[in-house]
Amino acid sequence: MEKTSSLSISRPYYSPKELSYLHSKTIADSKKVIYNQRKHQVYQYLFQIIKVLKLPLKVLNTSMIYYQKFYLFNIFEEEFEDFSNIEKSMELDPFNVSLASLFLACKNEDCIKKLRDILLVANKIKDNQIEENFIELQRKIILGLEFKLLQILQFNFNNQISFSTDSLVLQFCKKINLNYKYSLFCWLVNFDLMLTPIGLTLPPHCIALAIIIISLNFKPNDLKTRELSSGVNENILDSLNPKDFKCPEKLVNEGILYILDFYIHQYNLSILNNYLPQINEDLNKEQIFKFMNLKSKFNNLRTLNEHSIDGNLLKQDESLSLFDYSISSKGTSRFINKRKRLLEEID
Amino acid sequence: MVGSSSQFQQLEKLGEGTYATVYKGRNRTTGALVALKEINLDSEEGTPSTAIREISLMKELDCENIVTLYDVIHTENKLTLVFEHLDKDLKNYMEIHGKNGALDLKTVKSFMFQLLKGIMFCHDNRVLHRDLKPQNLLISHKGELKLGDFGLARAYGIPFNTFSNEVVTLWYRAPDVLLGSRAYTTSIDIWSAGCIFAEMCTGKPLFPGAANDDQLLKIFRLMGTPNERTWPGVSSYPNFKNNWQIFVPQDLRLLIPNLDNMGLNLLNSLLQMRPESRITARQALQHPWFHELSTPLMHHLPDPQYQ
Repeated sequence: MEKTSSLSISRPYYSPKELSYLHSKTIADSKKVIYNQRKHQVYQYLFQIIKVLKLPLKVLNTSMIYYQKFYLFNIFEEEFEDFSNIEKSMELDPFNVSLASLFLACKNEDCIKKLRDILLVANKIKDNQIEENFIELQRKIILGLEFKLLQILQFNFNNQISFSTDSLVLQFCKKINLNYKYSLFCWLVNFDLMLTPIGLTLPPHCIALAIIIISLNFKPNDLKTRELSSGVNENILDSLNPKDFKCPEKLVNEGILYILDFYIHQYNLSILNNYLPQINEDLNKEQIFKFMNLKSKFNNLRTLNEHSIDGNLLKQDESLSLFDYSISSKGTSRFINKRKRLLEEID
Repeated sequence: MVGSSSQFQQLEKLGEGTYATVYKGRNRTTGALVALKEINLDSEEGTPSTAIREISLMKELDCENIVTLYDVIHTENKLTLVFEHLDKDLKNYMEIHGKNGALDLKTVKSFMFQLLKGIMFCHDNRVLHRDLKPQNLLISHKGELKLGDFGLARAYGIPFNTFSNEVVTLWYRAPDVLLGSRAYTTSIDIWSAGCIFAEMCTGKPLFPGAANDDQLLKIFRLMGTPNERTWPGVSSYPNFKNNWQIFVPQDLRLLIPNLDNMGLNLLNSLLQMRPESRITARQALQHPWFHELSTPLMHHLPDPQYQ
């Protein structure tokens, strides 16, 4: 019998194993490369729109989280077999998914823009002919995608609402008196990380602290800047305690290892690459070796224990199945915030 | 997952706002009463940003003096927010239980303490309510006061630009906002609390202005017309005028004769014209006027660092 109602509890974060499991269902092996390429393009596209619309960077951060979350529960496919079905093809288009993510992120970050204004700028950037009929159709598609996004997010927007990672990075830098070069390094790392799914697994304050720790270990004194920087107190690192930043240590450690892995594999494509000299002055080797050295230094960090999560368990978890949108279009989807309340009703 | 279709029995209509209609409801499983806020989806702009903000902020605010958001229900053309149900709002309460609207000082003190606790919790969590008024303060049959309607609330932090100045309902709007300030912070909620304090004591709104200028005039008449000497920088506000009628500050005692000196001192601290001179919610809660309150109301105020 067709389901007409559902009740689910909101989940702001997923463990790395859960992410891999979800991606295995939505992104075919043959499409992994194209998914990543498209994600880079979408990131550039949204960045341009955000610049034109003078939106803050946190909107880009949130948009990228929403965009990536969409593909945890929706199959990544860019073309619909029936080419005559324009609406369906537009719905699958990752760029339209990114526009819906941006539209919702603007609402959530209190930087409201009319959908029409976003679409006019977005189409101009893509050199699309702006015809009224097309804009109207696109508006309809974006609103449909927003409807889907809200359900995927389960109305839990909390990962960015009061504390976006970029503002936390700046606040933490100020708190520990990091100099200009180190702070800029942190900011650039955060900029790079917006492209990654780290925001789906870790809360912003843990990511921000992980960035600070990497900066202090990397010692980016050779970062290309016009500003002169004062020295950094070598003792800061020893005195940094995750508890002072309300961060669970294991989550910060997860962040540190994730960031190092990211640069080890994608340094050449990163924004940071444009700001550091090719050769690291400490090692007299390419910068990537500095990240590899740090990775070996941090190899024994205590991280999340995912031993109990196996494939069978993940398959049984209904919250990790592909989203059934037909329930809310024909009946009702109900989202609960607290586990205690869910248990009260089930019992 | 369990079924949720018609999980809530819809009862009578409780009110209608700008973007939503509120009904009383009953959870069919637990029997608990709830408030169902039905939000219509806009055909042009989709889900209203006010609803998105209300959901995202209220899910974060877990405080006994803030109405709890339980669930969100999504159907194709409607969004329903399921809130904790409270019997009435402060406006109804004053009409029913007040003497010509005015409440006895014991009740005022209890409500003010709870209002300031709710505000402090919001501010500690970097949220501005921006629309505090008696209609948005809900009262339970046990005498609990809770902040509701966060449709205009926002999180504050490092601002990327200034905020819209079209937020707080006119009567409770701070003078700096009326003067066109677009960089206000927690102090705007404190001004509103001051207006509500006076209204609970007298049964009448303190500054019932009809429009922006009239609102300012009503404030100046009582609090005095500001100038560079009493409020350095006031002439830089966009809506500042040189030709305002000059009023000298009045003694609030004449307007609220039933309030004791300590209470008047607190009211004065809340109704400071200069936003930076206004007391904070935390300081207000430690004001001597509240010292006589016994537990459980007057318990230790948690340090925001350790919440």
